[in-house]
Amino acid sequence: MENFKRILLVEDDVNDIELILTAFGKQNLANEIAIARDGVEALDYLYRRGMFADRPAGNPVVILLDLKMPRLNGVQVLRRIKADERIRMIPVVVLTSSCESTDLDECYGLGVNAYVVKPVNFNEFVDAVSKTGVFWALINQTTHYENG
Amino acid sequence: MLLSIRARLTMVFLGLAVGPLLIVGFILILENYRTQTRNAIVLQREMAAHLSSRVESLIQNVESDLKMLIRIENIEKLEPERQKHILSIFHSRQSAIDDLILLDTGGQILNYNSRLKLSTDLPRQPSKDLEAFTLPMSRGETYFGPVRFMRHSGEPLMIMAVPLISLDTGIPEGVLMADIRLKEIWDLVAKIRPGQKGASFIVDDGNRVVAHSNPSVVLRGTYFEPTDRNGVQVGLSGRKSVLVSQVIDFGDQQFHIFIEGPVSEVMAPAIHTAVIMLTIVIIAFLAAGTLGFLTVRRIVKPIEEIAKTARAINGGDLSSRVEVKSRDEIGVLASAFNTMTLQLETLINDLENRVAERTDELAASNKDLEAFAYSVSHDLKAPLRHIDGFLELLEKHAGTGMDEQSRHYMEVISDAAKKMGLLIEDLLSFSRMGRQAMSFQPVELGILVQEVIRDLEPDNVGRNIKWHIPDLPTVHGDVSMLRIVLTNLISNALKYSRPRQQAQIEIGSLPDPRSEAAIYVRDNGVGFDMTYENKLFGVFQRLHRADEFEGTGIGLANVRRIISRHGGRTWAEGVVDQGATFYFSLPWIKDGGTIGKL
Repeated sequence: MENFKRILLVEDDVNDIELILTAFGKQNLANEIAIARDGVEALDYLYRRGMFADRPAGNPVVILLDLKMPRLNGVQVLRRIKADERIRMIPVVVLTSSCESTDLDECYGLGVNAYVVKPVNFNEFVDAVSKTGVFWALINQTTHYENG
Repeated sequence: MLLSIRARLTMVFLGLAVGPLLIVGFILILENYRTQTRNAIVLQREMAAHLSSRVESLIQNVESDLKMLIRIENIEKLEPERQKHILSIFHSRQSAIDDLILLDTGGQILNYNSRLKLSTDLPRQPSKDLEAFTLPMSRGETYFGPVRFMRHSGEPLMIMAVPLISLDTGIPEGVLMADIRLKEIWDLVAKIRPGQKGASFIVDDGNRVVAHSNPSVVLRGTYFEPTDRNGVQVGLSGRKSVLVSQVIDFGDQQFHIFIEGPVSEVMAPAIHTAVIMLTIVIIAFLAAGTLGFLTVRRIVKPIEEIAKTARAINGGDLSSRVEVKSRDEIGVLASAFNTMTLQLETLINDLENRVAERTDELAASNKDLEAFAYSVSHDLKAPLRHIDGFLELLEKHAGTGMDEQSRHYMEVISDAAKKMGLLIEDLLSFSRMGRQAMSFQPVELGILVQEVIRDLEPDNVGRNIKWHIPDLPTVHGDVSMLRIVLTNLISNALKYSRPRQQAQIEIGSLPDPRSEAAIYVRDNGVGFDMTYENKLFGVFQRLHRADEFEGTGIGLANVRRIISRHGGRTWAEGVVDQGATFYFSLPWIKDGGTIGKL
């Protein structure tokens, strides 16, 4: 049986996934990461259905959520998560290129726990992503809320 | 002031009805007055003629009686006893004569006969120089003396002296002097008078009233200056009267006879006519007023109805209609008005629908634009990040095995990626500038400029900059956007004056009294060629190479966009190597103004 992953990364772009994993690798967090390639997969993961039907039970300690994705986008996923009693306690961190105030307003309005803009510069990017990962996966204390 | 149709029509009605009546009435009253005056004058003239003939005949009777006495009896030749007898007989017949005196050629009294046996004013022995003696003697004609008044009774007396002319020689041989009582004239004057309140009176040469219908006027000793004019004037009574005069001439004495009829009495018929006329005018006025009011209301009410509806429509109530059912032109007008309103309503509804459609379309296309900007932000930045990231990874991976040339290529790729990142950010900020909501409020430019300069200070450490900032106005605008404008212009000024030993930057406002505030930022920097002035404010337009002065060329495009969103203008002046001046204008807020020129 596969080990339970503590971080759910929702990201459609393979390059970004590689860069994020690289950043996490420097903090030894790479093995903790589960990846969903769009919003539908993300919800499938959270509800343990579809391709994630067999994953071990339990909620991730944090969801890193991209906004612009095919099928279900990040805002829609966020809305679903925060509307569901069972999973709305999971911290959601939006990780996106957009620093548009409309996106910020909408996400905070829906109850996002943090909003991180991906820096274009690689070093800054690594810094931002790894700090985010360390904080939410290691430092932050979450409620233990078992997935039904 | 606007005069309503109702008021005007009512005035016309009243004017038409009452105006002619008033004019006719006025003419009639005037004509009546004239006729009455004329009639009164004619009547009083006849009266005057009658009175004067009566007075004349009274005096002539006495004169002719006296002459008769002389002729027939040849009295001066008789014995004194006989003379006295004849005189007393004559005296008893002629009641108007008081005293009779017979004088000879030397002026000696031959005989004296007094009715009352009392001494009058006549001297017992008159002087030879007495006019009453000398004049009849010299000219052989009767002399009439001035009127005198008796001391006790106040009665008027007049001396009449008749010469005794010899039948043989024709020469006067004495004078018969008589003192005549004029009181009989009083009786005439009392009888012959106009109306109840009118009076007749006689004035002698000395302007004294000698006879009056009211004797007390004479007894008081009244004087009256005779006038020649006949007609309405102030009479003896002091009232406005119709006064007619006639002269009686006795040779030595002149009497003016006056007939005075008070206007109030003479004009009584005219005044009566005027009162009737006035009553008719008032009744006609009331009748015309009532009739006019009713008619005007009938005419005006539908018009007012139309006006009311027009106001309602003007106020935005397009469903309002005129309810006029009259079959005249106003009815036609009302129905045309209603048709027009219906068309207008249809048209406006149609227009509103179309505007709503267009607005929806516009909103849709705006949304597309926003989606595009969002896509640019997200989609273009991701590949850049990847280029940068994987370059970094490649560098680490290749490690020291990479030659100098390869390192250079990698640097170029990295710089190009960074540059592209800046361009994308700028493009996004420019697009944001167009969409961002603005909140207008008073902005004190002087304070804002100081804040911007303070924010830019860290970039200018060690530079020699001479600032010149005169008083700046307070304007009306979005403070965060105006901050961007000033930041762009001032940082440009700092940037392009960097080659100068001492940078000189002036920020001020043009003394423009017109509808806008014009602000400028002037520097002594490298300036620009005016040929390219139109390019300055374009997106990514640059007049300098990136290796001379850094920047993407978005700053002035943002400035122009912000200022144009404020309703203002942007322009620039420059001379190569001498400096540049950038201007922007903001409209003054005139109405509801918290803001004006300071």
